[in-house]
Amino acid sequence: MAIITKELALEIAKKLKAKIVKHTKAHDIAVVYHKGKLIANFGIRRGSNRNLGHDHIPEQIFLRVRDARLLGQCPLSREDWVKILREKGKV
Amino acid sequence: MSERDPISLMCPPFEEEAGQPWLEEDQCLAQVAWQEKLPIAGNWVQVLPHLMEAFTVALTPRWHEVARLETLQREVALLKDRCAVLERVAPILVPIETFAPEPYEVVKPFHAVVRHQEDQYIASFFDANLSASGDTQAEAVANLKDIIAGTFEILTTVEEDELGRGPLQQRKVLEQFMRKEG
Repeated sequence: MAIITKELALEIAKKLKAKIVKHTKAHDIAVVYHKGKLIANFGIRRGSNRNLGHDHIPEQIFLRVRDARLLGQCPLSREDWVKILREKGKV
Repeated sequence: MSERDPISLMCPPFEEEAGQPWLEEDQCLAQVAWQEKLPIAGNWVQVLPHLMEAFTVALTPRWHEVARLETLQREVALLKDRCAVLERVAPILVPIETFAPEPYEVVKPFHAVVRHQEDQYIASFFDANLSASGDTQAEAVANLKDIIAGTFEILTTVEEDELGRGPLQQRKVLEQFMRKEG
């Protein structure tokens, strides 16, 4: 089973206050803004299966799979994530 | 009846037996050659332990050989399994030459890297930091194309100064490889 399921992907999007700005054939594309700048984007697959695999998301938001999971499950906050991005020179 | 050595017990002369001889002549000779190494005298009760010992000595190298072959067979089976896993999970490169039917054209063909992870496939265009998942390799690649086209459209409609470092780099990379048709 995928590590990042659709359910977790939606939690991650919610946590990052991501906006769904585009609906493509197979995805909803979520974008994350920070201080007026678009800093990350990722696709959330269409489909009703809550276990649909989204293991592509961690690298799109510059995180390790483990940290992306923590982001969706709560221990890691949006502020922590921005801090990680800043450390990696992505913001 | 005089005491007979075990050789003659095993290989009775033809004239002493009414039926067929117990062993063929060459088998008897082989037994003799074997027994010459043994201090055999007396009856079978005395001979048997020696025969058993000789039998063990003769077979030990064979047992070792069999054990070695069994180990090799196990290792070959293990390697076959590992090869099968590697064939299944090894990343593959898939050339991207079209976005049809989406209204984008490929300016410069590029490759998607498709790898197996857990029970799904992930297709990535690393230069643009774009990835997509799929239940099959083909689905992952199709999803990646979908993500690339959608992201390209978003990034090209946002003002450049509104893009952070990551998305700005994505846009610059994508512009080298694709453009909107018409």
